[in-house]
Amino acid sequence: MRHVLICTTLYRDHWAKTVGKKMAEAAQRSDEDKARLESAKPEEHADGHIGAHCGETIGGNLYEAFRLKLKERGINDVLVSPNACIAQHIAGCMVMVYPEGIWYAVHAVEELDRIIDEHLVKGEPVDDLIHRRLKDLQGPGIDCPLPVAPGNM
Amino acid sequence: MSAGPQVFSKLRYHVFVCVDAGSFCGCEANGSGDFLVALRQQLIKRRLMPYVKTTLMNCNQPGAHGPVIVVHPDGAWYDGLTAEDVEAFVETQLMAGQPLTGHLMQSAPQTGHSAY
Repeated sequence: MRHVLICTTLYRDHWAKTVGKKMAEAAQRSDEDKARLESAKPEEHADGHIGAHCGETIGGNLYEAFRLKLKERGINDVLVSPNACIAQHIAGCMVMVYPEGIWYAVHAVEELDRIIDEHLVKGEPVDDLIHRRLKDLQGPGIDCPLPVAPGNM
Repeated sequence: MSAGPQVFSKLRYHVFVCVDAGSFCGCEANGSGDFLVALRQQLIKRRLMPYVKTTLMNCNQPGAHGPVIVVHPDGAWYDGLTAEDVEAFVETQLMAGQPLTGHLMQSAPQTGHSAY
């Protein structure tokens, strides 16, 4: 059984969970900060992420479409979950297939057909849609982790 | 970790933590946020951030008790872990690669390497 995770992050959700709290604190410090934050457009809030979040492009459609396509084909052994931002949306909406550890960058709903038919059914990853193929995902545990930082936290 | 392009060349585990706020699984109400914060602090403390990526998700698992955690690609599903269990979780599941017995999810989906 495979676990497919599709990014459905909306900017406002991600913003509220990460930088939103910090900026709200900053807004309380001075009226000037508050006015500047309120007048800024969402995309002007720099959070280190470039481009539109997946939920604002096609992420939400992908999640629903993926479940629908699996249902049409009668595939029951694939678990689909929506997940939050993994900061790869500059490349496209992320569709992650585990346990293979393959991240697909998807730009259209039609590309899901190829992922389902070629990867999930036949077991052959779709090479030209792969954004990142995680390596070194074999073997027990973590090899040679660095020692605990002395005096850290 | 500093901001900027993330390289996953050392990545070994991708840990997903359910933060669904609905009444479907009750993960957020059972303290998945606390677990996530404690887990990330523990990973920073042990300098394991290049090896483990933590991501939020919705688990879609009815009948689960507490925060649902999936460790991919091994496909180890946990529920009922609290912030106090983070140290044992990191040492046993992540560093040693052995499942942390006692907190494994009952009737979990078989999504690991050995499943097919």
